[in-house]
Amino acid sequence: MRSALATILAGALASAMASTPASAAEAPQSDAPCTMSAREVLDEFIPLFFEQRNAKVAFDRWVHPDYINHNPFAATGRDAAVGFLQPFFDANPQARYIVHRVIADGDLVAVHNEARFNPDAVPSAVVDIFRVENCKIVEHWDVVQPVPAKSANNNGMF
Amino acid sequence: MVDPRDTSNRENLSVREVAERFIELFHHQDNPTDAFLAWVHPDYIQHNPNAPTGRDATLEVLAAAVRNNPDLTHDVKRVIFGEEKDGEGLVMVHHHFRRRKDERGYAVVDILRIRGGYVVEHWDVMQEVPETARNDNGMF
Repeated sequence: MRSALATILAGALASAMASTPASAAEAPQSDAPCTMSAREVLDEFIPLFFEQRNAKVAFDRWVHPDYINHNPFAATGRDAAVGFLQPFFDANPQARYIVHRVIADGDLVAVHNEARFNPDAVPSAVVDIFRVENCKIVEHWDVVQPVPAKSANNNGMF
Repeated sequence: MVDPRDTSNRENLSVREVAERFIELFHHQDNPTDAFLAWVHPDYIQHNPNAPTGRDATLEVLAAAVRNNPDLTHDVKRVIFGEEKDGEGLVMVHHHFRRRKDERGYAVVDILRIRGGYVVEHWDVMQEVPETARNDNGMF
């Protein structure tokens, strides 16, 4: 159940982010060239998506319509992602992500996070990787692993 | 070409240089023993739930895995070298791990924290590559 949830969370995210040829990336709203770095785009996207779980606004504002999603459980493209994610968040108000660390360089940003269906659920460890082009997220990869009940060390997965 | 085992100038290497040498040995050459003895701090903090903490305890697990799976490979897909501050930084390695060439294997992200010329902490996430997917993009 919990791994299904985590997969769903991640899958939704993935599907929202995944499907666009780089060359098709959308220009910013104005005609002025985009000057935001990938990290700056994610600094806007992370609070909207991971903290507020406002999938519609996060994706409409920061994800390219044709983004390429590599999550195997998600359909590719922005609208497929929002169409899945927003109803999921609306129906599961206790779902949470905790962002533990962000690593950025050039056009890539990795977000190491903890996804949980509800406060009692076993979390999953997730790394989402985003590629940004012209101020839009154009591609997404992720890896999801349920946190096991027992560990060979006392350090936790985060 | 720099010898990835050369630690002689460790304290003056950037986080990126340390990561590149570790990745060359560990992920490309599939040689955990040389990678760990050269670049991992003895007090390394391990977050992988299947491995004990500390350099030597983790290395025992990894060396056994290589002995049991001599054809294992880590096919590196992308690396993110995070910002370095005060000689410390995070590096992400996204790779395709396979124990045998004929298995679908796992998508893996390793996150390394590097400080003072050593890998001092490690987190990872692993997911088996499924047989089928809802898109044609692959996991990498």
